[in-house]
Amino acid sequence: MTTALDERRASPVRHAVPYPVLLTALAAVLVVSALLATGVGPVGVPADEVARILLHHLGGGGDTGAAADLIVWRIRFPRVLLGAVVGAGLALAGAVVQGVVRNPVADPYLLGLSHGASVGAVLVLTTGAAVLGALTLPAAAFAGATAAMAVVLVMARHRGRLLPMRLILVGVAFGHLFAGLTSFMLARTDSSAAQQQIIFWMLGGLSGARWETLPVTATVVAAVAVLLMIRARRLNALVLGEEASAALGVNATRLRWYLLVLTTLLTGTVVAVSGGIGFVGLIVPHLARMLVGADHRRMLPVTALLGALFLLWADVAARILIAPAELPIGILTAFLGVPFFLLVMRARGLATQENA
Amino acid sequence: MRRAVLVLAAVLPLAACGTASPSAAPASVPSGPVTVKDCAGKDVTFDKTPERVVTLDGYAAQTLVRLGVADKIVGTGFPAPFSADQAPHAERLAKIPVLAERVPVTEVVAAQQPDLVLTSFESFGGPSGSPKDADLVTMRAKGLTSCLRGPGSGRAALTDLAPTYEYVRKLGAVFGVGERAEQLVAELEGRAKAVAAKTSGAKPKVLVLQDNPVAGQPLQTSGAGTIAHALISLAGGESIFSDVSSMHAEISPEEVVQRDPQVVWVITDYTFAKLKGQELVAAVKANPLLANTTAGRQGKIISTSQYLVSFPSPLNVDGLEQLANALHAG
Repeated sequence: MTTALDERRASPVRHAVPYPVLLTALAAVLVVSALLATGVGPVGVPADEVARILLHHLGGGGDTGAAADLIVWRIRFPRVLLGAVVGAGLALAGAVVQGVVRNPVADPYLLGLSHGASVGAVLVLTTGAAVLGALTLPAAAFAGATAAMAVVLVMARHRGRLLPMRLILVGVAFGHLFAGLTSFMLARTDSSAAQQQIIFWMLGGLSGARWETLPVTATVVAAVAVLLMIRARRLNALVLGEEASAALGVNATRLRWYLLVLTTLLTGTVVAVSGGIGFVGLIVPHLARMLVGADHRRMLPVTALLGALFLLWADVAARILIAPAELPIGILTAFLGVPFFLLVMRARGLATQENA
Repeated sequence: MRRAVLVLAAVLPLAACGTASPSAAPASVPSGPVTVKDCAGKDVTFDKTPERVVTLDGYAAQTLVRLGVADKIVGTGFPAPFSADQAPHAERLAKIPVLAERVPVTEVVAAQQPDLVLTSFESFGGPSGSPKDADLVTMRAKGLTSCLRGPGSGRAALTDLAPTYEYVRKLGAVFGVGERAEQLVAELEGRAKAVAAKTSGAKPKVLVLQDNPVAGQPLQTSGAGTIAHALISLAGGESIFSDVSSMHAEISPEEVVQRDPQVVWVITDYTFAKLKGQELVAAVKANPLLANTTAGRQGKIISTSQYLVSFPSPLNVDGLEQLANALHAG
């Protein structure tokens, strides 16, 4: 692997758009997108009505009891915001895992994290256990992701070191085990209602969004994003490899532990509210690298913003393409993501030999 | 998640709505708070009679029409079961605004500002994007589902139409038309008893199919926890797959030949079936997989639409009569 620093030097984009301008522009597009997306849905609400409702509530107004108010403020807007938060979280998790295992096709799926979360959630859905009420499902998904990461970390450790190749192999192996467990429970369940819920959960979706669940998710994603930014420099060193990072004074194994715990927290929280939404964590970090290079200090904020934008629009498509029915969002992330990714890759003329 | 726990009709606090007048004029009954149990055994309290009802599927609407409270329905999803209904109910059902051909998504339901959302499916939130229990709380609506499973065990076999009667009584209580509900249940029970009276001693062995079997693939059948299983018992037959319980249980072709059904009951109109109606029945008749069974040799292949026999609805008894007639004919 050629070093990230080389790639950054060679990055053609560096001189095209100044970084602060790009960051500001993306943030502005995100805000505008959130407002636009709130105006779109299976039930037609006029744009001025949407604007009036949002202004009313953002100005501290209460519920008016009107149907449009309920739809825009209680159902759509939290969903749009959750989409942005989940997208940012998944993209960040993907970026960090790619750095930690030094592998461009890595994402939380590769380490068995998402599958672990699925096992937790499906256990709850099939047994009907509801010890924590409405929080049972998210809590179980989070516990599943944590347990999966713990198992993978313990099994991948070798003589006190945590090496990328071992992590990937152990992660993939356990991912398959967890996927098998999920399928087994799906085949065993008698209730067709539970089966539908499990399938929906495995494909992911944002229809569970509501104001009550949003703050926890948003806080965790924001906090982890800040902690990752603080470690961004060392993450750069980690990408250079074991010897290079040692030379730069970075304990690679300890840093990997730390980053993976953060990623687990991020993935567990996000998957708990949205189910297993694939592809975002894999593709968005690469888009960000194409735009601003591989330096994590520059790339992580762009990754978060792009992830938020991407999932927000994917969800809009999921809501309106076959309205009044709804598509699982996982289908849209693939349909929208792949062509977009290929377009950007060709337009940037990015040489792929860097990973050869 | 709501795990279905059958609430015995007997423990329903019907007394609370004992003020319902014999004419059961829906809007005119000023009743106090009414409390019913949901499938998980939790209390659902109605301070006043629901005025704006969304039925996520046509089955629930068919029950309300027979209770004389169809005017409370502001919209329905999945209207397909209406096609199996007859006069005078079919005309009334056709006037209900259709929100979606399948189960509507949360936003579409919320736009109707319902105070009660009903489904005859087992739980809320099954189909992608459809309202979950928490969404009902957001839109300040109550929700009631039908309860298919027996108390305690999720695997109890269903041998009567208790879930159907229970849902009718529950809705009667909620809408203050308890007597009308009792009349409806009495009528349905009477017809079911009349069917039972005509059944003879020998119990034909019945295989339920939902689609035309494909060689090399498992067959799909209705297990013991379904309305279809209950109807076979009531019609004096015996399901050969009482040992599986789910609504779309997969069974091996070898087991089918081994257990040798005397009758194949094809439930038509499932959305996943490749052929519809009598075309499906004809295809099953010609299927070589069934040629070596008694049913196949004797050509005992009968059929009923799923709109009569898949979820709790007053039309279950129509399905029962069709099944019993076909089962004991010839």
